[in-house]
Amino acid sequence: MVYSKKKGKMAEQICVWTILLMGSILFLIPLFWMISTSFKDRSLILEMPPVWIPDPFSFHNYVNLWSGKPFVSAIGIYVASFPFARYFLNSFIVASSVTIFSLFFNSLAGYAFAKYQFPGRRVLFIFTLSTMVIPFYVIMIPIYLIMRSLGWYDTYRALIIPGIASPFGIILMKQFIHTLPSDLLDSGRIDGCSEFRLYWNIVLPLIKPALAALSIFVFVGTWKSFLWPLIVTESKHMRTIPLGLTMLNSKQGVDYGLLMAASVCALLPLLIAFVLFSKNIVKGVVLTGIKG
Amino acid sequence: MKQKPKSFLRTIWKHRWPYVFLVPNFTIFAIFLVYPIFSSLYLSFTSYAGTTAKWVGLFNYRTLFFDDERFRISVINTIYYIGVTVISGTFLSLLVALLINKLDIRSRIGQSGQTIFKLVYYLPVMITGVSTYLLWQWMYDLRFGLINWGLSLVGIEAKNWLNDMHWCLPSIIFMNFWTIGFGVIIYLAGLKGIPDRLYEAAKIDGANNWQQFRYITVPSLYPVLFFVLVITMIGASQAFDQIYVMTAGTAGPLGRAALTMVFHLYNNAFLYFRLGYSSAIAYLLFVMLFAGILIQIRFFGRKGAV
Repeated sequence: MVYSKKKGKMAEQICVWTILLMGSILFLIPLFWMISTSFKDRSLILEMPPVWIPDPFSFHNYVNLWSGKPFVSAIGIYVASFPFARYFLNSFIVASSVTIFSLFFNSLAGYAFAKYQFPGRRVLFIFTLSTMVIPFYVIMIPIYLIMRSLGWYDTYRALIIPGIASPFGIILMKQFIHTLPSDLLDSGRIDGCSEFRLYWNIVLPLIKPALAALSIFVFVGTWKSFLWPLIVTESKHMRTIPLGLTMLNSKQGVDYGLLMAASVCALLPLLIAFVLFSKNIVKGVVLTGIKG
Repeated sequence: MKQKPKSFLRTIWKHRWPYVFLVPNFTIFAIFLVYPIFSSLYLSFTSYAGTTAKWVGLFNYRTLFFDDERFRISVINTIYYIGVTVISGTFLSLLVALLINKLDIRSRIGQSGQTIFKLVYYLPVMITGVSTYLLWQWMYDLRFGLINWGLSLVGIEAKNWLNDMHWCLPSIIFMNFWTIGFGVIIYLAGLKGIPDRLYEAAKIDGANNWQQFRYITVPSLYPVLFFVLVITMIGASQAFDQIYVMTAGTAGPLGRAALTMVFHLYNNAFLYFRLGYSSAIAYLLFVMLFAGILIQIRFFGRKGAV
């Protein structure tokens, strides 16, 4: 009885592994294809059946992309100016700023909710929770109008400031800070520590994993953000990467080699973040999913 | 009686620190979240093209329901899109989560397997954005796309997926399956939380695999299911980026194959500058979403879920 059970179990494991492996390969093919295309010359891109490993291997696309000088794309279109480096810089400035501010303000708020008892605490927290349900399109037009009237249209401020308050971030911080022993804070108070220093010197160092997880979510989310930059910027030099990428896309004809190279570059920070922080990501997703 | 206002201020002063800590966030919430919600509602009852807002009452809503054919099409497209995405996305991510959960974590190979697969299936969630939409656009290409080539190997005819009236939305939904990893991670955590003894007790009572799944697994996952379903629904209702990038909103012969409500909103707001009209569209979509969430609460709002 036991022997056939063991065999059955092994067969089951093999089955499961095979299915998951096939799925994984399918999932990774598009990524591979994107990288492969980015290193191809025009002739290779249009070759059927598809060429998986480019031969000749060409850095042409990447050079054109980063040099910022005018060039003729693979489909023969003269590209006068495509300041990809500028788009990259913009995305980087915006994403980093939002992340830093977000970490600071949201952890502060999370700390207030977690370690203080004050009137209206529950109401304000439920309010925070409910703001997560509000879809962007409902507030899209009014905040666009606010930006215009404040004179922030087409500036970094418009791209950065609305993204700072993150209800998700507050909740994540609150859950995490909640687990810290309050004795630490009490003894700090006895020693004459000001409330803000309690936060800055005691709480912050202890919540590094949560900060790491939140920073990944915020950075990645801001980096990928498309609709908001689309409606709130206009000039070429203010565009973020997602907008810049769509500039290369047209119904007339697309230079996919160049486009894929640009996409790969746009993805690099995300991939790096993924590799560095995969453990934290899983923890962060789980924390909100289970407790939320 | 004169005591009351004084003690109110005194309470605020006593708790000043938490309030101070909350000020930055709640200021932003107030300006960029709360005010816009009401402003949007107000705008939906006006006719506003950027200069002066003229009150028109229910005119916008009436036009949407009775005179705007594109709106009706966008509603159908949106419901279709949300429905298919949520249902099949949930089904697939639950399936993958169940499979990964089946891997025996008592062996080292099973453990690393779980970690590896979790990462592989979550990776697309991390990187999905305009870059990947362009990648998929390339894969869906009529003559040189990977997908048509792959289909040709099994004898299926090539299609211009993103421009086809019937296949445009399904193609985008199919692409969205690449991001089921989000649900997988959360369902996995939920599955791990189900105590083994429940299954053992069921086995003793003679329950087969399907019964175990139906009466133990699924009910235990209700809170998690609720969360993922609502998040997926909100995300699907907002889907704009993919459609803009891959179809520029003009897919299909009449340009309506991929017209969702959000896109109709965008066109009206930023192409035609009918800001009052588009606010009405926004609110109708919001109401629809809310109804959807209430339905979810009905189904999954067991004790402890909400």
